[in-house]
Amino acid sequence: MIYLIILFFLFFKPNPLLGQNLISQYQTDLSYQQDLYNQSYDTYSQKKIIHQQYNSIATESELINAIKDTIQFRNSLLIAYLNLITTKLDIYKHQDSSSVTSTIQNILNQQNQWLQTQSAKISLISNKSQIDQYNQQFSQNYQQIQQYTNNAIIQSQINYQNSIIVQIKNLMLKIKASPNFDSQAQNWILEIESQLNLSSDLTYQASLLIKTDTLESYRDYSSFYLEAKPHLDSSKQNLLKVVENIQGVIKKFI
Amino acid sequence: MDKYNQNIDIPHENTTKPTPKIPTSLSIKKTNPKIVALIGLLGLGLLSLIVTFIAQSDFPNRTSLQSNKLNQSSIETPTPVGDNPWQIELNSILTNLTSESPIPIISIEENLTF
Repeated sequence: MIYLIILFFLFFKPNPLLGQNLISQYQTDLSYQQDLYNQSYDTYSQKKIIHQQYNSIATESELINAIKDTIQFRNSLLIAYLNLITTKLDIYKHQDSSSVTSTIQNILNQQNQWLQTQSAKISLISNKSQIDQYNQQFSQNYQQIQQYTNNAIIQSQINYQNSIIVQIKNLMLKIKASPNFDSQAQNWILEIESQLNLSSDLTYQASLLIKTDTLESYRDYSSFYLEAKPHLDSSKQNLLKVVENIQGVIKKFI
Repeated sequence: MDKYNQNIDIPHENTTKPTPKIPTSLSIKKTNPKIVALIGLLGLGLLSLIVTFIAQSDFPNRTSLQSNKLNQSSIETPTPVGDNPWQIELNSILTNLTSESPIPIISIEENLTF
């Protein structure tokens, strides 16, 4: 009986890890893993300097161990990062009528699994050539990870802003149906609608910068989010103005 | 003195009463200390599980989240929330718009070389 009670408390937790709770857990995990990675990277840097200075078998062995630790923590950091991204994409996924969000999630999940399998192999590394071999393989996969994390950051903001646009459109429909809605209010609303369309255009332009194909000519996947960011920032600022203008309509006419 | 002694002259052999015989069915069995210790340990284990269980539940988080949300909405929407449902809806949209935190960007060292 006691064992049954213990099993109950072990396996049946009262809070299902869903939505925002899960995101905040992954965020905490990400910052924890980031700290561990930073610490291991510092150790690696120190060991590298020492090895370059003394170049002995002992310093080489210490450097190999430091590299293995850093690779392990780097993998854990990336896994935590991919967990956060794929969960965040879930929130406004329903706003994406295309399959882009799902494609991004699938690729990131595949990379997440790849990282997990690699974590088990790191302990087998024992010499310099094996580290070089591992680095080569990691670089190939990391290119795709970078490409799709950038895609995910852009797509998650597009989905989120689109959800705001839908909410605003629904509210405007209700306002239009008001008996106090006169021709002057109509003019105001028309202006607001054109402002809202500007935000839609800006998110669309950001969506064009998502790169789901593997382009041979496009080697640098590290920063293409920065190309989409100005469009997304302008769209958000524009949405804040739209909200302010609707507030004016509600105060004046309703 | 003798007078008093006469009055309280109780025979000493009668003061020690015979101990009542406890029926064998009601007698307390001598418990094994190992079993007592085991039960105690199990009890402690169960208690610690219950404490962990309560600590893992998100009741305190939920309340703090709610209070954070309330604080946020009061900061981010300076206009008082009137009875107008559209105003309330608009304030909710504004809160959504300002409270969203984008995905952070992390950087790592790709090549860990010698």
